[in-house]
Amino acid sequence: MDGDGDLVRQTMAGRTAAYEELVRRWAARVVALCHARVKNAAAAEDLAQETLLRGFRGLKTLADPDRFGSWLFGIAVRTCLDWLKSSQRTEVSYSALGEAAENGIAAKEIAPESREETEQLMAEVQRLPEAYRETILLYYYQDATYQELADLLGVSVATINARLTKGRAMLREKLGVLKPRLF
Amino acid sequence: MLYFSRNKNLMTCEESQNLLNAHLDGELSVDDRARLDAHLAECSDCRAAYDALLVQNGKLLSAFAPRRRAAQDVANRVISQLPHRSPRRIPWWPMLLSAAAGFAVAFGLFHGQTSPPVAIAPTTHPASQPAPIAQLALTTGAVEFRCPGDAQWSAMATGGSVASGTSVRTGPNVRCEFHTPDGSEIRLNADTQLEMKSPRRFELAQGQVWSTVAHAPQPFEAKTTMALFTAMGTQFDLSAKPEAAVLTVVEGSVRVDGNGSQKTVESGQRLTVTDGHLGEKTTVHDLALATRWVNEILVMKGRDNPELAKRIDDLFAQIGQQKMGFLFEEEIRALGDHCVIPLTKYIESDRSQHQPAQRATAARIVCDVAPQWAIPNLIELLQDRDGEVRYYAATALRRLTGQGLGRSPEQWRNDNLFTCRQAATQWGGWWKENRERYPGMPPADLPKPKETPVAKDRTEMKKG
Repeated sequence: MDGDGDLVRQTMAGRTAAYEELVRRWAARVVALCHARVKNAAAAEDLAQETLLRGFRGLKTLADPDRFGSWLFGIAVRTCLDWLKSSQRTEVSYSALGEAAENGIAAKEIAPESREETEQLMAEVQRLPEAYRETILLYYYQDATYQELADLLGVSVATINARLTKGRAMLREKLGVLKPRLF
Repeated sequence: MLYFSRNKNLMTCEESQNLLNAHLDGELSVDDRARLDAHLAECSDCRAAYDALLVQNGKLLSAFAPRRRAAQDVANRVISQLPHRSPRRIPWWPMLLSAAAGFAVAFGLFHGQTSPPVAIAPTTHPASQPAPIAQLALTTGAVEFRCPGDAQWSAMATGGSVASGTSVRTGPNVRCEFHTPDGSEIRLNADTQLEMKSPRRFELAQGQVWSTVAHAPQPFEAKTTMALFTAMGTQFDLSAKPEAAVLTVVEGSVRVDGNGSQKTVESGQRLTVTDGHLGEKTTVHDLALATRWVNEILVMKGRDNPELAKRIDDLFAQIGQQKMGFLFEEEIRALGDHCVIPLTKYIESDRSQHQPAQRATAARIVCDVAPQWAIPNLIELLQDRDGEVRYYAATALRRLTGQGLGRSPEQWRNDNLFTCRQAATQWGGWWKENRERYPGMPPADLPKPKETPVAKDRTEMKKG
């Protein structure tokens, strides 16, 4: 299997199919990162799409092709920041997103009992403190080893283990209170 | 990999609790795993904590399944927007042209919204003809077509094409797949009848269809008597009965219009339309089982086709996550040796690296169903870092070749990886010397276009 760096070089040599492979490889992680940043699944998908297209257009600015993933994450973070900064899209206006509210995302006004278990679980994941949220989203959007996540986030393997352990425990605590029958 | 061992033998509950998450995620060393398993066997408190983690993990995996599919859709959307896209599918026109227009003539119902389809004589310039809107790519039995205004149904051969306004139908136990020039696929279940309106529109009179829709600016529409279903770049399953239509979205999203109301159904969701009234969207947890009827078509496409691989992956992901996990395993086994390549790839993939229990299950299934053509795949698995996987690979090799090359399956499980990798090279050497004695992977069952029925059908066409 070609490494990211090889695929970047092939893309720059005019082989667009190589970028398709990079997109398949990175899409889920970019969506996960955006989801962690904006706490809204539908918006995260749009932002990830924008990120991956920006990546293609800006590939010539990538200094080290082997660092494609972290470079792409940088673009994703900036894309999310722009989105969050734009005046209409503050957290309070999530209910205006229609589909997102329907998915139970950040729709705090809906009584917990009426939400489906899955939606409730996803909403609680989104309410986790950022470090835990990010790790859990990255872990569940695409299978990854602790080492891969550690490399991606620039932390140790033990930190990944600790974040997943604590994050899951927090989720159990939250959901256990709301729905005792869950566990 | 995490190394927590402080004490070689005993494990306290405190230590055990610290390891449970890493165990769940397949991140423990072999030693730690063995010690933790031993502790869990003795300690009901820790076992209960681990069970709770397993349940939670299952719920998280199901909750994220639609998100993962949505992320795949993001990838597809991005790819469709890249410039100079290389074609994703097998070229469609050469297939048609190579058949010398013969069968296209026989079933030669050509494009034209207003004029009825007519049979066109063979020509050496097929490209100058109007484009047919769908071609029968493969079928498990007899498929029939009927031109507009005709009372009579005629048989259709694989490779035959239809034009706008043509109805096609399948009988009992027959399933088939049509391809359209834009790269979309339409599969018909048994006892299904639909009318092809355009490459991106059909009307379902009865039965069940599965559509894989190619990305294109123009929407893809499926109509039943009760509602209109509009999809863009998506996979969905639609069944129509006299009293209700049921839509199941596998990938992407589909908009449903009925009786003045409209709903958008996302991947992993199902919606029933009764008398034009749109019901509530429900979540489908077992998509692969719910749409199992397409398996028969998929296995015709060979043992290494990506869609079958994805389906087996989806089925596989449910094992251990659902109470009825064994059902999914049975479903995989029912696919026979078609599951060998996908499961082997799963075991060798990065994504399985933190799922030791799942990998062992995959290896166990491969061990049971692998035929002789899979010997080289099994030899690869002898070098796996997990002893369980090596054990099953060695067991299967013994079954298929009658050989152990001096090592028992238990040794493959218990010896360290270095020893096993060295021993695996012996198997590699054995294979080089003996490969001639074993069959290769059988080809796909895709039928070749037949030209023989042309004359007969042409006569029928003229009569019609």
